[in-house]
Amino acid sequence: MIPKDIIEEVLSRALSLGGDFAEVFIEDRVNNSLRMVNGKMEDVVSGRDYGAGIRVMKDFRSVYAYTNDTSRDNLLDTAYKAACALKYTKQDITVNLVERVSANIHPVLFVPSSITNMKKASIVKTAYKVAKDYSHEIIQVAAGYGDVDQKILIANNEGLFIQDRRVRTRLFIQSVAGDGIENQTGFEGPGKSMGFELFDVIDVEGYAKEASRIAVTMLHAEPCPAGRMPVVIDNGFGGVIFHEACGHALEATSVAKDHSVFTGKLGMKIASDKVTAIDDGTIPNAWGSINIDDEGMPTLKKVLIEKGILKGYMIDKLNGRRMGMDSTGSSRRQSYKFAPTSRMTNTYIATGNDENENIIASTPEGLYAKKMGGGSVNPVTGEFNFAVAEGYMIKNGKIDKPVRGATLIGKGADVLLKIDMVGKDMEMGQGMCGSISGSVPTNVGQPMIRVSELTVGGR
Amino acid sequence: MNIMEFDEFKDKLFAAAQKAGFSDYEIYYATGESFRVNVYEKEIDNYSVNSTKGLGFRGLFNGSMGYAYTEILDDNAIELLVNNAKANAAIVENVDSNDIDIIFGGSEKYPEIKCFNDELSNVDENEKIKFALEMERMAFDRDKRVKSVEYCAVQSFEGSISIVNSKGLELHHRGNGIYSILIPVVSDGERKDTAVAFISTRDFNKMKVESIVNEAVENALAYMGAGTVNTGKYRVILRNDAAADLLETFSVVFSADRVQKGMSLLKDKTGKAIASETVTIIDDPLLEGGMASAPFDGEGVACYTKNVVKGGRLVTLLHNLKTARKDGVSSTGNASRPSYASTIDVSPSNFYIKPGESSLNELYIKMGDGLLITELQGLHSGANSISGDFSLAAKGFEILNSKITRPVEQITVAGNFYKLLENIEETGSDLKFGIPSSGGCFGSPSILIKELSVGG
Repeated sequence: MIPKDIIEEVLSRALSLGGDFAEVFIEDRVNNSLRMVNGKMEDVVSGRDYGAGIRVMKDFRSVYAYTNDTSRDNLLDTAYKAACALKYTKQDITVNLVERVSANIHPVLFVPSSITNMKKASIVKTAYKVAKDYSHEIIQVAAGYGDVDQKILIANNEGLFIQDRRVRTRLFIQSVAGDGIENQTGFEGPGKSMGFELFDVIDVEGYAKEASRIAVTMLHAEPCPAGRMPVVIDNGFGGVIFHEACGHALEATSVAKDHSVFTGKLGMKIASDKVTAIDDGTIPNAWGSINIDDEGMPTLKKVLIEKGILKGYMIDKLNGRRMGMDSTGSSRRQSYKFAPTSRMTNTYIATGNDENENIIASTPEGLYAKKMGGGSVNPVTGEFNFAVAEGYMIKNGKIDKPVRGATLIGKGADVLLKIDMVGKDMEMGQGMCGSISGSVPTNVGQPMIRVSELTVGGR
Repeated sequence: MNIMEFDEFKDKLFAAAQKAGFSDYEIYYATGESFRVNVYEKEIDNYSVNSTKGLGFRGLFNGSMGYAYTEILDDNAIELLVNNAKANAAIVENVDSNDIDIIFGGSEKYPEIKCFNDELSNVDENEKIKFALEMERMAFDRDKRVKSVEYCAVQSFEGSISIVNSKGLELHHRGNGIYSILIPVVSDGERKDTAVAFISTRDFNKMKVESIVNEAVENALAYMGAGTVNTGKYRVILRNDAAADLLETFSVVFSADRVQKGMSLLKDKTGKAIASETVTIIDDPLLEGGMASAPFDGEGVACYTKNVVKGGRLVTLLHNLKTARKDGVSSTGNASRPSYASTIDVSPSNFYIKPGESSLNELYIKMGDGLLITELQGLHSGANSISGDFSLAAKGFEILNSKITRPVEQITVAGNFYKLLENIEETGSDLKFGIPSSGGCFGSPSILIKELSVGG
C-alpha cells in the first residue's frame, strides 16, 4: 500500500520529539451492503474507506492522529503533529522495518468483489421471501447482506512491518409480527470470516424461518413477570451474558486503571467451579477471528477463567505497560479512525457436564431464556443488563408459556458465582461489540447454563 | 496515484456520470477536523488530532437510485463510484411511481443560521488541555470519596458539508462544537459508583469546570448505599436526562419511513391524540445554539421548526422527499444522511418535549410517593421501537411524602412508549439536552408518569 521507506521515515518523524514507541496503521477497505424491506431492494451502497492512523507513546501516554491523505508529505506532517503533543527532547531515531508475513488461518474462497450484485441480491430475496411467507402474521421483514474486504498494513519502530487481509460476510433478517395493535420482532444474523462461500455452509431459509418463528411466538406471548428467580439461558447468543457481565471487565482497558471489579484478582476464585471461560481469536473462519491483532501481534487462544479461578486478562500494548504484562494479541479497532485497545474476539463459556433436560427439570420455577438480545455493562460497578429476545416461564421443571419483554439485570461479580449448572452443547452467536475503539465483530458463546438467581425485569 | 482537489474531482465525476447514462446525480461531500484530549492521574493520557473527508455519490439510472462512496479522491475512485452506483441502481426495485427517489433542485429560500463559532475555532489546544486537567483535579478536590476518574476528556470538532447536483443545486454549510465529559468513580471503600456529566456547546466561555464537576460528583455520591425496591407498580418521575434518553430511543417511531414500512404504530394517527394533553414535542433545526441545527437537510431541502405533537395530538410525521410524495404531503426537511457513506433516511434535528411550569421539587410534591429514575441502562437492547415495549435496568431514588429518602439501584422499569406518552401527568420546567448523536439532539424536561412496572 505504502512503500516501506516512506513508513520508516514517518516512524522516525513520529519519534523525533521523544516518544518511545511509534506505529503506523494503514487501512484500505471495501464495504458492500444491500437491504430489502417492504418487498423491495433498497439501500444498496458500496464504498471504499481509506486512511492512516499514527500512534506515538511515551511511557503510559498515548497520542493518536488519523488522516485520509496518505501522501508522503501529509503523513510526515501528521506524524509531526502527533510528536508535538508529547513535547519531550529531540531525538534522532532510525527505523529499519523487516517484513513479516502473517499465516492466514481463515482461508477465503470467493472474495466479495468476485460476486455480482445480482447474486448477493438473490440471497437477500430468498431470505426475505421465506421469512415473509412464514405466517400471515408476519407484517414486515427487513433482510440484509453485508460484506467487508479490509486490507491493513501495520508497522512500528520495533521493526514490525506486516500486512493482512480480512474478509467478512454476514446476513441479517429481522421479522416483524403484528396483529394491528401490537408488534413483536425476531432477529437472526449469521456471519463468518469468509467470502460468499458463507452461503454454502449456512442454511439461509432456516435462519429466515427462525426469525419469523420468534416474532410470531412473541406476538402470542404474555408480558414477563418481574422479580428474582432462577434463569436458564440457552446456548449460542446466550453467551452475551458472559461477554457483557464479565468479558468487558477482563479487558485491560478497564483492568489497567483499576476500573474493573476483577483488577488484582489473578489466581483468585471469581466464578463457580463450573465456569471455564475462553477468548479464542484463532478459530478458523469464525466471525470474531483475526490472524493478527490491530497492533500486528498474532492472535491467541486465552483461558480467562479455569474452573472458577481467574487465569488471565485480554491485554493490548499500552495497557500492558501500565499493568507490567505482555500483550495477548487482543488489541482491536473499528478502523483507522480509532486508536486500538484490548477487546474480545470469540469469547465463550466452555462445555460442562450437565444434561440440558436435567437443567430444566431441576428448576421448579424460573425463566428459560431461549434466545438473548443485546446488552450493556458498566465495568466499574459491574452492573449489566440484557434483553431476552425469546423467553418462556419454567413451571414444575417444564417449559411453560412464552413471555415477552423480559430483561435480566445484575452485577458481573455476583452472576459468575451463581452459575450452578453448565450443559454440553456449546454454540456461538454473532454480534458487533461497541466500545472505545469502535465497533468490532465478536462471537459470543456458551452451552446451556443456569444462574441460580437473577433479577428479571418485566411487567 | 493522482489525488485531486474537490472541484476538479467533481467536474470529472459529473462528466463520467453523464457519460455512463445517469439521468440525475449528486455529490454529498463532508470534511472534518477533530481534537480530543483525555486526562488520567494529572497527565495527558490520550491525545488525538484528526482530519477526514469523504464523498458520497448517488445517481438515478433507469429511475433507480444507486449509491457509492469513497474516502480517497483519485482517478480510480471516479471509476469505482460510477460503476458501483450503476451496479447498485440495477438491483434497486421501484414498485410504483409513488415510491421513487428524487434528486432535488432546491428550496425557494434557506434559513440563515450560524452553526460556526469563530471564537471557538481560535481556542488554543492548550486551553482545552488545561480545562481537562482542571476537571480531573477539581473532581478529586471536591470530595475525598472520589477515588479515581474513569473518563475525563475535552473534545472539539469542526466540519463542513456540501451538496452539489446535476439539477444545479449547490449548498454549503459548516459547523463546530466542543464537548467536555467527566465520569468520576466514588467509593466508601466497599462499593463503587459512577455518574456522567457533560457540557456540549459552541461557546467555550460556557464551559465551566465547576458546574460539570459538581454535577458529576454529586450525582455519583448520591447513589452510595443504594438498595433495591419491592417489585410492583410505581408512580415515576423520569429525570430530564433519563427522559431525553428514552425519547431518543423511541424518536424513530415519528419517522414516516418507519410508519410506511409498518415498523411504527403511528400509522393513520396524524391529527389524532397519541399522548396526554400536557405533551408537546418540537423538532427545531433552527434552535439557537442547538447542536443539531442546520439550514438544509440531507437532500438539500430547507429546514424549518415544527410541532410534531401538540397538546397530545400528532401534528405531523417526519418526512423526506420520498416519504412525503408517498403520503401526498411536503417534505418536512428531515432527510438525514448520517455520513457520506449512508443512504437517505429520516431523522429529527433538535427534538424535544416542550417544558412545563413545574420545578423538579413541585413534581415530587405532585407525585407524593414513588420513584425518581435518574439513569436508564440498556436502551439499545431493552427497548424495542417496533413494539414500543421497553424493559430497562435503572437507578434512582425512592420518594416518600414528596421527599427523596434513599438511592435505589439494580431495579428494572418496564412499560410501553406509546402508553407512557398517554400516561404523562406533568412536564417539568427543567429542559435538558443530551449528548448529540448522528441521529439528532434530544431534550426533555423531567416528566411525571402515572405508572410503570418496577422489578427489584
